[in-house]
Amino acid sequence: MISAARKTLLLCDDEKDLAEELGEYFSETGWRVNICNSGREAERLLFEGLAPECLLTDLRLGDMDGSRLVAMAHALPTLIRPRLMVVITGNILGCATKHNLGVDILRLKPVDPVMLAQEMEDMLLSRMTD
Amino acid sequence: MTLKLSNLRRRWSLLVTVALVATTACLFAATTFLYLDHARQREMLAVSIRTSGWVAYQAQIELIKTLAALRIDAVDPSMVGQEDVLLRIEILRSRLPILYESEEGKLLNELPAHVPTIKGYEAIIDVFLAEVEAQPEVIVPTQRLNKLHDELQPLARTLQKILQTSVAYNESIYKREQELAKSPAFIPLALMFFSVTSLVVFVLLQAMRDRQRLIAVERAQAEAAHMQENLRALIRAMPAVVVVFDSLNNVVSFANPLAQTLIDTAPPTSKEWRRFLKAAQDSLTGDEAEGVIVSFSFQRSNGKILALRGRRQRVMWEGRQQCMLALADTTQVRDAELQIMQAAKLATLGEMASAIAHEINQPLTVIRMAAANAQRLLANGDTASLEAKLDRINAQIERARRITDQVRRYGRSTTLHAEPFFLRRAIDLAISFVAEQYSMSGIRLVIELDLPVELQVSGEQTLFEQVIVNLLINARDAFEENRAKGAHPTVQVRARVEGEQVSVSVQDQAGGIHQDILSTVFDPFTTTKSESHGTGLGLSLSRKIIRGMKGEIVASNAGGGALFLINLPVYRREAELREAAQ
Repeated sequence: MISAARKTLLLCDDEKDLAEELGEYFSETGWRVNICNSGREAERLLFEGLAPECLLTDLRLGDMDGSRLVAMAHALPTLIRPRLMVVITGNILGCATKHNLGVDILRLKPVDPVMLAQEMEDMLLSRMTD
Repeated sequence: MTLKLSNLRRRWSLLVTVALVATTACLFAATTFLYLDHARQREMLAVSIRTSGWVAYQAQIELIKTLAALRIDAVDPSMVGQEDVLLRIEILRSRLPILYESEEGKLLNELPAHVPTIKGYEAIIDVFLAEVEAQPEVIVPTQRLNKLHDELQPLARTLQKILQTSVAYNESIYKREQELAKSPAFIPLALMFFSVTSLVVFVLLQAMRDRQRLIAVERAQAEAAHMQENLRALIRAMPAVVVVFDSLNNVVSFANPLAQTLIDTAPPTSKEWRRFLKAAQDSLTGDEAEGVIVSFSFQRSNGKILALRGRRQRVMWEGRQQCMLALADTTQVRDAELQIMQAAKLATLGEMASAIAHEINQPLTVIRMAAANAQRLLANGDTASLEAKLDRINAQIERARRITDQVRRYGRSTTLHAEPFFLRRAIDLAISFVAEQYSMSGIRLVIELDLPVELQVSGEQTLFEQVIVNLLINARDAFEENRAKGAHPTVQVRARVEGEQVSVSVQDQAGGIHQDILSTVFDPFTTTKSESHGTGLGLSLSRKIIRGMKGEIVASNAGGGALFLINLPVYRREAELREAAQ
């Protein structure tokens, strides 16, 4: 079981309604959620040292590609780098997989929030215990 | 060669005609002259015969009578004998001046030589008469009477000479008369003969020429009649719709069997024919241009839509100027084209499936998340916030419906039935259809639509939208292929009105169209894409669609990319056109 203080999430989606609903759901399930609606805002927050345990982003953002945000997060210093990186996308992906995107979880929209939250929590726990 | 011979024959004929006319005129003039001369001579002859000798003869008779009276009275002078002498002498005296004063006497050339002699005898007579008049009651003695007799006796010789001269003159006149009587029998007859012959030849030649002309005209008329009959048979037999109508009252004068089968078998004044003519008229661009191409659809009374394409031409038909429509039934071609267009649209939809799925997934995801949150709120008993969730779910369902509507609208089968539509809305719909895909591809869309919302063009709206979608997808594909070359991903869609034309342009900066295919870019199966992308028919169909809207589409390279420019006529209602005309 992860303490509430450790369940921090930076949520990035240019779809405002979706970001709000996701944020609300994760908040209600014990996550401390920061919401941003653009890739640049998320980038700024990460650089400023927000250091969430988890980064959840859409693959297609209005101002930048979600994969670029993930790549940038990977490049952060270990102390402020998100431990878990999650991508949700509405695209039908061809050869794109979670490995070549460099993410831990890749889910197609519309995602099941219960399963996603459970998976994220399990994976985060395993990362923390490693 | 034939032309030369014909010219020669015509010249020769003209020459003969002129010669005949000239000859006839000369002969007529000669005959007239002869007639006048003959008449004058006859007149002269009559005068001469009446005069010559007659005057001298009368004078001679009177002289003889006078001499006889003088002799008788000289035997036994008496008052009675004297009166007889006086009467005779006075008559003689009156006859003598006639010899040289009358017109007839002047005809004799020798007479002037005798005038002094005659006047001498007149003086002798006058003296005698004066003596008698001085003493009227005195009987003239025998000696005086004999003296006068002797004095007048030589007058007989003078008169005889004049008489002989007259006789000689009359003889010459008689000869001339005889000659005259003989000569006219030949010359005028010959002249008349030549005149008549010339006239007859002239008339015959003219008749021959007229007959030849008549034969030529009859032959030409027969050929024209045959040709007309052949043409009518051809028109009846040909597998094309041929309709002749009077453009003044829009009444059909002729419709070949195929036209009657396809359009209507009703009388030419029926509503169906009027509707047909109106459809043809509405498809014309401009006014009464000659040989203008017409292409239109016509819905028959049984609901079937015919596609017809051909020409409208002015013709002389049944003696007056009318219009002829010669049309091919292109319904099957139209149906095949529609199938190709449909296939092309479905291919486009297939290419866009990924973007469409993404677009639909967005509202679905929001709905799912909102539903999950609503369930949680419900479980917690927080019904106050539930309504907001349901509103959000409804809004997202509406969003998904719009997307599916758009797909359904784009994918539905189309007809080529033209009707006015709002251009700006059509462009907006086309752009919104590809916007998601552009967003996914990271291509910026710059939209500058300087169009009134109410501006309309005539055509099939979804087909026009397909044209814009095709151009935008082509631009996207061009960027996909040239991304490695660092092309800047921006596509501009512009539209503006210029008078009665509206232009719509789609321009990218993806390197442009290769020069080798620029001139054939609208030909079927011209493409630079791989086999997995596109059919090579998109631009060809686009041009067909735009031409069907009486517009034109051209391609060029500009600003580092391809520029497709569409020009369309602005649709005006009849009332607006009438106002503009006024």
